[in-house]
Amino acid sequence: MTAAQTGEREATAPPGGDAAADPLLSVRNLQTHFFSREGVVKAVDGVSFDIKPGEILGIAGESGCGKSVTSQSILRILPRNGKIVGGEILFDNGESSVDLAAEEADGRVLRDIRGKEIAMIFQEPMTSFSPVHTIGDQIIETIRIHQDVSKEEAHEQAVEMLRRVGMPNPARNIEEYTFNLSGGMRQRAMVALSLSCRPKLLIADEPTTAVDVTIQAQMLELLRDIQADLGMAIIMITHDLGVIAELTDRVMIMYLGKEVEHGTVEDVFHRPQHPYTRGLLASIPKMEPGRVEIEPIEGVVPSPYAMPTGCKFHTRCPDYIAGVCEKQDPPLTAVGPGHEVSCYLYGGREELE
Amino acid sequence: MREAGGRAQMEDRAIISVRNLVKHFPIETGFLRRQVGVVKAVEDVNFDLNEGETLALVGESGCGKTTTSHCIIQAQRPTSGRVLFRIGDAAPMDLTQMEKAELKEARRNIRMIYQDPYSSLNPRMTLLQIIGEPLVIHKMAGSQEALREKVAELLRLVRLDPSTMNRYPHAFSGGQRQRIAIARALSLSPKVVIADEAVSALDVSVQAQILNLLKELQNQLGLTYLFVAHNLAVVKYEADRVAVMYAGKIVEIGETEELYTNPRHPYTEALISAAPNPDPDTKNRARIVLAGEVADPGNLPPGCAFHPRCRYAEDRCRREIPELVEVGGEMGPSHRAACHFASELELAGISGGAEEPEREQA
Amino acid sequence: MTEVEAATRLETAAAEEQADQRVLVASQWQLIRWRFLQHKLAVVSLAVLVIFYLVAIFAEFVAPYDPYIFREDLTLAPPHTIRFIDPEGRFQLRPFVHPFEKTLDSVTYAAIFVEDETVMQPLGLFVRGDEYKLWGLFESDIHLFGLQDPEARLSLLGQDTVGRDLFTRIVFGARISLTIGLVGVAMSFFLGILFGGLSGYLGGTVDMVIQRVIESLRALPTLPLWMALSIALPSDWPVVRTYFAIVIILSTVGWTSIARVVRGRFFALREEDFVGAAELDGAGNLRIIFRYLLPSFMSYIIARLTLAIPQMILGETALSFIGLGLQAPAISWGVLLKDAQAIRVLALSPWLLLPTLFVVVSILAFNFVGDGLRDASDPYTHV
Ligand SMILES: Nc1ncnc2c1ncn2[C@@H]1O[C@H](COP(=O)(O)OP(=O)(O)OP(=O)(O)O)[C@@H](O)[C@H]1O
Ligand SMILES: Nc1ncnc2c1ncn2[C@@H]1O[C@H](COP(=O)(O)OP(=O)(O)O)[C@@H](O)[C@H]1O
Ligand code: SF4
Ligand code: SF4
Ligand SMILES: [Mg+2]
Ligand SMILES: [Mg+2]
Repeated sequence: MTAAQTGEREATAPPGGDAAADPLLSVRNLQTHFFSREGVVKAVDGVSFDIKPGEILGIAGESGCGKSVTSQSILRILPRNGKIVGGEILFDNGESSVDLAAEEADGRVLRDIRGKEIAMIFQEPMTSFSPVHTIGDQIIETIRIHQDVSKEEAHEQAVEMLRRVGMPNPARNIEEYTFNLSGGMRQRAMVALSLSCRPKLLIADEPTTAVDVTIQAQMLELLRDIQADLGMAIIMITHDLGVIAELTDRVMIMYLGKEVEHGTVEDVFHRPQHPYTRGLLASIPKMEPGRVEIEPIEGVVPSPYAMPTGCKFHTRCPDYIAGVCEKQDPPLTAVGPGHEVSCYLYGGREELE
Repeated sequence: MREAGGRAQMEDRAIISVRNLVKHFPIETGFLRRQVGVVKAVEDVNFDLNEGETLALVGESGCGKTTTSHCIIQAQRPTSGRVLFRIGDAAPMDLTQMEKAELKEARRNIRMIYQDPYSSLNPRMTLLQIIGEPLVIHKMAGSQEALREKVAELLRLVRLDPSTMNRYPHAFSGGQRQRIAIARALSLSPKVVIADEAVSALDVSVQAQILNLLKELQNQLGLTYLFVAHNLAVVKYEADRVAVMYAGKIVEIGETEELYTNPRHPYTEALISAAPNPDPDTKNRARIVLAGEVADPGNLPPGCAFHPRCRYAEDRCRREIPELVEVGGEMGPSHRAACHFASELELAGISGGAEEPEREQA
Repeated sequence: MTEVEAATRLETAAAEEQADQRVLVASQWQLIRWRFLQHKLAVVSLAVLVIFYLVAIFAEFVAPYDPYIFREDLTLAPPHTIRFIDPEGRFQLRPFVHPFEKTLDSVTYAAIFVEDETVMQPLGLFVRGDEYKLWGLFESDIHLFGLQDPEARLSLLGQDTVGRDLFTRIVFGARISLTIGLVGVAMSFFLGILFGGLSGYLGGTVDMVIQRVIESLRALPTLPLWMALSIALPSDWPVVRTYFAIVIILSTVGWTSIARVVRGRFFALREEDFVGAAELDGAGNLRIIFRYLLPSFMSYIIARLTLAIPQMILGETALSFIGLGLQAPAISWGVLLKDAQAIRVLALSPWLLLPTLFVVVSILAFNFVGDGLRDASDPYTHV
């Protein structure tokens, strides 16, 4: 084990022992809060992760834990009352590393990165497309905003991309409007649009939540194939641990704006350490023969306006250590190579005094 | 009350028998609402709901699950078919033939829980009013004191604090609201509860709580559930028997364990294979990824509605509609499937990865 | 306000809310009130409106004079300057004015009003003045304020073209201008709920007919429609009858949008699961309408109504201004503005435009209150 046994991770240290490639995106202690009439919501409150080129990272957690806000923060497309109040989002754009958190949200740097270097797909495909333009127009326009190519070249690239995402008849589909397409085809068109500039990073926010299981299977297969084909990195955001297990290499589990555990999918699913991760995995009914009991996590997710002190999970945790857990946030502690947990069961108590 | 024939039409153990249920919706266009077609939302559905069991209806969206449950409780009147309901040894009654007053009585025994815990509770009423409403309407409340006592008891039953009965739904989370909805459904001591995607909108940890609560209540009160869902893993956990629907029809029905380990319909096989498994070891298993979309019940293909997506389809499938027939096996006559090749195909269930199909893809 | 300030303020608000368990058992109307009270501009506007309406109700008492009594010698006299410092430079606790002395410009023969600094006329509260009958019931000659000398005239906002006190007339004008909106909206509300409800509840042919009528009415541009209708009003009708005729004219269009909203809400709510659940509970139609449907959109409708009132106020003002609405001797803000039509008046006596200020303030106030109500009206959207 090369990583530090205890204590907070150094901001610059690579996660785990494998430091072969520099991270493409490195989020450091991100804090994004919302200011509304009802109060402040600390939607994301200290989240750190890295993603290397070509890697598939999953971000999982129950609704309201801050998954979408994390991705909106990266692309700086937060709603108006949301604000990044701390942390860094370092993106390696090939030449140098830029801190997306420090840039103007609609400045030059982000406009160049959005869509070209980092692309996003959403739960509802219709939101990505304008209903009054053909799919082709929109893909071609996106290509021409970011690349210096002629209309004909862009058209060719668009057809090629539609073919890659498995549209049945790319030459014809390119002339179609999205409302003419079925749900599954729309999903494919949306993937084609987001990949049209060959981004280095694709952020997929619950792309399969609103679709049926057979369409979901198509979508996952498509993402797997296209990743093997184009080699971009993917951040897969979902509440469905099944999707995480099927698709991703590494996973970060979040609870109430905090990262509770991260590691390879194998580590996290086979050797979950954080009581929340364990509870979550025990709550899911399994597709296995015979009877497998499920064990729910007790209690309810606290209201975002009444966040618990200390470890956010202490109100529901079966292993709660009285006098410790509610005092302070537990620090991230390494429990294995590249496997870190934020829980006092694994260390950090020494520093409390 | 109307009687519907002799007992012969109902299975012995059945509390509700659905017979040849059909529900069509007209497709209308234009100013004059000319009918240009028909959506066959439910097409000749038959099943029995046995006393004390949980029968699940699964299938993808638009396959007719909700419409079927609405036609059972007569929230929508079926186009044709019968829904026989029997309490104890009384003669079965056909719900589809009932007038309003009779239905009101019958619906005391058949209650419904909805999918969306946010829209199913009136935000302008307190828990006391919401849960007490059915009692008040059926004049079973007695005094205000008795009503409070009864509501408190119901809240305790669903593990909510009775002291919260003066709160409004906005004070509760999704999972707690679903408990409130369950309490409302149980207030009239029903025999049958229809839960339409009752856990689909909930987060996994809360979903597990509600799944277990439903089971406990069933044991405690001897309830019968019709459990409508699209998540196969949830259904596997909750149901005794499963009916798989596709394009308005039941394509396979059987005991849960038997159906999951030994599916007899290609669609069931594909559904099982497509369900994401929270185990990274199965990441590289061979999956069956169905091409295309769910059939449009407004424009069904001829023959077997599943044939455009079926990898075992042959010519016969494009012409003849398969019947839902016994597929026998050691499990006896309870396993039925609607596929021409149900008894020949080697289909993979949940025991292992999908084997190579022994037929060429059509 | 800086981010930090905003954050701390919101944090304290949140803490208060936490401490405040009342919210959990708060009914719809309580939630609406709390939300509304957080909307500062709306609260201020509501206060302004309350004052306006109080003034309109007690117009005879609030106005220092009788709106019809004119003083030829004070025709087009400008507003007085209200003073505290007398010509000797001493401070006077009681404010006073200097009376006007009228001279004629030797060249243009235009009247020039000069303050006579030798005379001081003190103001007072509850002074005696013109006699009136409040609401035609209570006889009195006490006015809220005025000059202590009943013979002298306080020109608070100037005098009109025949020497009537403009402030007095604005106060009386408020009575018609502010109520015509309310009455008009009440009428639209009634028609809108009736027809919208029928449309939404019955559906089918009834719905189709009502919808076509609404569409036709809405296709016509509002102002020309109102103009066309008011031309038909006989000019010799008494004021009260014209008033109601104008209200009806104004509501011809107003009810349609409310009917649409009601119908839409009816349709949408019938789809809500809790309404379906109530039907399955065995609740009858009336119970569903009164316990489930109406309460669910009452707050919303009220917000919509508040936003509809200013339109009516503007409508009355516009019609009267172009001479198609109320006519003298009726007093409304529109009628008063009609006096200000001549360019010459504008140049020499700009105070005649002051009724506009009151129109604008009341319209803005209604809009802010309406906005506040609309935001607050569905307290469940963000909870
Ligand atoms: N009122 C209606 N008018 C027209 N078509 C309808 C109506 N209600 C349902 N349908 C159609 O009937 C079919 C079955 O609908 P149903 O709501 O039962 O599906 P479902 O299996 O419950 O799907 P979901 O999982 O989306 O709820 C769908 O194609 C639907 O579009
Ligand atoms: N526009 C907003 N205003 C206030 N709070 C918000 C807003 N958007 C999200 N939030 C809050 O931020 C938290 C995280 O939300 P989100 O990231 O969307 O969750 P999820 O994990 O389901 O994607 C939640 O508590 C949510 O209520
Ligand atoms: S820190 Fe304490 S409360 Fe938090 S998860 Fe660990 S044991 Fe549980
Ligand atoms: S009948 Fe034919 S098309 Fe239908 S499921 Fe069976 S094999 Fe497939
Ligand atoms: Mg989200
Ligand atoms: Mg449904």
